[in-house]
Amino acid sequence: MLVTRTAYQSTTDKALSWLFVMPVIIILLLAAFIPLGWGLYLSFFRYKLNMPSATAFIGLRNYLNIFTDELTILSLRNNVIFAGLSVSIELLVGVVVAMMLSGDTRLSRGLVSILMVPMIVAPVAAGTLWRMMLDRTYGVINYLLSFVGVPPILWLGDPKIALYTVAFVDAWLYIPFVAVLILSSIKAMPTSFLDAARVDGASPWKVFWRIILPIVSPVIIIVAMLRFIDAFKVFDTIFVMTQGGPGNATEMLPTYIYRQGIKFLNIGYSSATAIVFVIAMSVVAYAFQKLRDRQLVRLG
Amino acid sequence: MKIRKIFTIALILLLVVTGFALAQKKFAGKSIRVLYFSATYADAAKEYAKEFEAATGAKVEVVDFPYLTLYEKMGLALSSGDSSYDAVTPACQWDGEFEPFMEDLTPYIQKDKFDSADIIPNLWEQSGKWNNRIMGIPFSNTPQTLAYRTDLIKKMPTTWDEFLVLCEKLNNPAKGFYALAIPGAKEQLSGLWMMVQWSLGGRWADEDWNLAIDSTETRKSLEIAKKWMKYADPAAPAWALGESDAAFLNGNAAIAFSWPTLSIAPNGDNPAKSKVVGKWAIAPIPFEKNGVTVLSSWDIGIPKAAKNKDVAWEWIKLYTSKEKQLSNFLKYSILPSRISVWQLPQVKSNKLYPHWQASQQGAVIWWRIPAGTMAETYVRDAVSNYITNQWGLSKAVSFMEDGMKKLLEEYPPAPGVKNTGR
Amino acid sequence: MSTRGAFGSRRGRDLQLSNFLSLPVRILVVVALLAAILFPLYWLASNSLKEEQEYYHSPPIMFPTKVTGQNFVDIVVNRGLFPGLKNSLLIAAFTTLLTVLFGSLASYSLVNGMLPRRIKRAFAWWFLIQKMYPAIVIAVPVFYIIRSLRLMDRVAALVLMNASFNLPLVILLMVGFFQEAPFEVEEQSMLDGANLLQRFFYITSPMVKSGLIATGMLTFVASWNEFLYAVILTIVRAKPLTVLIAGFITDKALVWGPMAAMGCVVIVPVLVIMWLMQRDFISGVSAGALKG
Repeated sequence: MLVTRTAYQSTTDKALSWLFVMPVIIILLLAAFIPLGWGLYLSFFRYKLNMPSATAFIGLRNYLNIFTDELTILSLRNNVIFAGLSVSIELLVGVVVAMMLSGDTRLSRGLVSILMVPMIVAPVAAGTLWRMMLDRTYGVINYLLSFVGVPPILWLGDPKIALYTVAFVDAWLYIPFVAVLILSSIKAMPTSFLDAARVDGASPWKVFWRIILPIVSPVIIIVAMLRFIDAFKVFDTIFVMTQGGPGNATEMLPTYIYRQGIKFLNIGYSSATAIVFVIAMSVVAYAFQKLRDRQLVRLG
Repeated sequence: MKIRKIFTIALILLLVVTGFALAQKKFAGKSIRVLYFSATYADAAKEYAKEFEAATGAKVEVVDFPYLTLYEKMGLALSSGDSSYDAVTPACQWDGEFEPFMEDLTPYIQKDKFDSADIIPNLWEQSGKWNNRIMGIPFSNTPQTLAYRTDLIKKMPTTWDEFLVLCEKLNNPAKGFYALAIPGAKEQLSGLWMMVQWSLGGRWADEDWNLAIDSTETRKSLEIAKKWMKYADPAAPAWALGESDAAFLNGNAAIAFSWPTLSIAPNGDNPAKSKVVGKWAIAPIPFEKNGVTVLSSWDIGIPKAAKNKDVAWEWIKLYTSKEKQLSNFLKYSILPSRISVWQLPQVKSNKLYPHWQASQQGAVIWWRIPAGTMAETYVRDAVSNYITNQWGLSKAVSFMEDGMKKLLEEYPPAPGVKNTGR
Repeated sequence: MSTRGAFGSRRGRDLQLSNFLSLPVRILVVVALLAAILFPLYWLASNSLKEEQEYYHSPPIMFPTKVTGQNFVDIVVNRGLFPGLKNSLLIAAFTTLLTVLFGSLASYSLVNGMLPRRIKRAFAWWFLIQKMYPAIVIAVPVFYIIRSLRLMDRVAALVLMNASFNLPLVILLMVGFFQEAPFEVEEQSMLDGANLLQRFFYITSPMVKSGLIATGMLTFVASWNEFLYAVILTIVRAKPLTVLIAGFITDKALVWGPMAAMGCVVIVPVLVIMWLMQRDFISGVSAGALKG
């Protein structure tokens, strides 16, 4: 990723090079690495901040608990479904929207600027807004649906659909992000392939399916990776809309960790989950990267 | 001669200035920060803050958080020795956990001869006293009761079975009218289930912490709670307290569950906010076996790390004084903790008086030990999952039992501590 | 300057790709898109202007019969809107400043500086770890660190945390931009005796201006919208808007009107900024995926 330049030898430059990266190192040390390191140390203890008398070294017990705790597994399951669902929607709609707005018309550009909006809405605000709109009795969504004969739906209170509801809200927030990235990739595509295909008389659908999609696929894979990893960090919207309920139907890993870590000040346990997270997500990222590299090779 | 004159004038001036300084308010220039639950309690505090400042010169900054986040805010501040707050109001169920970080108020009480005998004795046992220390003065005594429509119900039933029969009779979904207004969201629902279990004679553990959660009472109470949902608005499972109170005040329900003093009582007879003016009253929950219900009690105390403890103590005395408790009651529907206030005629004739009966019947809290809050989340999850049909009955019960067992092992109560709750 | 639009396409070369779907489908998609985005905004705005009887009403009222500013007055008087707004602004502005400045300095050094190759490699991945876990998991250690730095309930604490959240992306993007910038101009200035610092400020930065703007905007939006640490690290003084809006979830009555008004205040400022600078915003966001 980094191309190194053969640089002009100079001691001032060398010193400055280090100086330039210092602020970043300091900030990340304070806000990320020290907490993580400290957390790693604490993860081998049973340590609740508000019950210091119960502190004990328990080795890998916290990690064991993570994998055997019923609610952790449930949160993981919910989170995976949530991630899979919202990322799929985002990709599908994102690709379609990107294709549609790839033109250079005024309409396209205007639509793109409207498209940007959900991207800048605070998830807390979006969650609050959707909670109001999805209310069974006073919400406007059910009201509008009633005009087409759909009976009122308990979007956030029915355990069978609450998970899908929050996934949908998440998709609403991030489709623009996905669409913009794919759109830029489409625009950056060398047009020679397209011209050739047009000359051959290929249908627009074929052009899309056979040419554009494969060329854009590396970017799609990376975007999918980013969104997938981010989906395991979802907190704001769940917190505001369902608090993990009904029951534990929308409990996600971050909300569950919030419960353990902040509510119960169970630092040992929440730090262990931090470590597991970093490892797991690094594996996921690695897998996606490999997939993308393979795709790049295939494209030649 | 002249020098003498100057001297005298200077002396007089000095005396005047000193007198002035001494006559300054006791705590001028100081300021304290107090932490409250965001509801009527914080509102009352904000009102009295100005009066307090006028009387003592100390500024009072009232910080409040919703119940959802209050526990962790308080817990984090206290356990980390943060000196941000000079007075905090733990809920009685958090007493055991926060006690190590709070000042013992006994010396203050003795010094100022605070009339602690005026506070309901049962309340002291459930809230404020822990580990032979006084960590807070209870200032509100709210047993869980219910509000009901006096035009539709003449006599409230005394058993839960009768209660369900009454619901069946009153329920009229076709007209958009439901027998019950229930906050079905996790946090509130568990509290509602608890009172049924207790009034049936059930408990979580006995005095010596032997688990008693796996019982017929537990099962029966879960089933009863599930049946309630049949008589409530289909949206109820997602309702927070605000929504269910609104349903009652809008005239769409015959009986409203959960802490009527928070919103129904203050707004019930206000034509701008209620459509059931003059048509509602408070009743204790069905007596069943022992009428025991859930207690919500808040006490106010001083963190060990507080900076202005004396000022904080003055504030506590003010907030828990007779006058303020009466004003809390009349203006904010905060139920008093003082026996003498309950005896006052204005209180006796007030609509909220049935709370006295409810508390006399018995209002208790669940485990006050540090493991208590975690135990309650097991209850919350189990009850909510059962009511929404995600878990079966045996799963719900075994989940609670396994969870509580693990908690008692990992965070055992200090030796000698008995289970004074349920 | 060539006539490059936001996505670097050349004007006038309409690719006409959208007709891969038939016209009715396309119309449907566009309409659905507009509805899905604009309607909630309309709803938010209209709720914020409704009177109490109308905002919590069944069936919901689509067009308010009376418009009132009462909700906005309420959040100013009762909910501390102005302090919250001030805090949000301070946090977002300072975070953006620090993050873009330090981030671009670091990126520049990584690309053109004289660090050993190994270090550069390590850096490339080192700060990405930041993105691999939910922020919540380090919350308690962070709480302690902030407390010992005496930064509790201060804007500086949130600036620090938000900077750490956004640095990875800023560095990632700026590295790409710096790599794109032609090196010849720099080489020229090096021969003229300019050192790293001078080259950074006078030569290269102007070349990556759009990158700086894009990352600046991304950071501003992200730190304006941040919620979790705002809740954990503030008590009274440093509370930003996101904490205020979440505070509506109390046990009191439902006040959708003020809630919506608060929502408007949370959304509108970033909306305005974004619309004014969307071109650079889009190019910055796009550059990220293409490089990554």
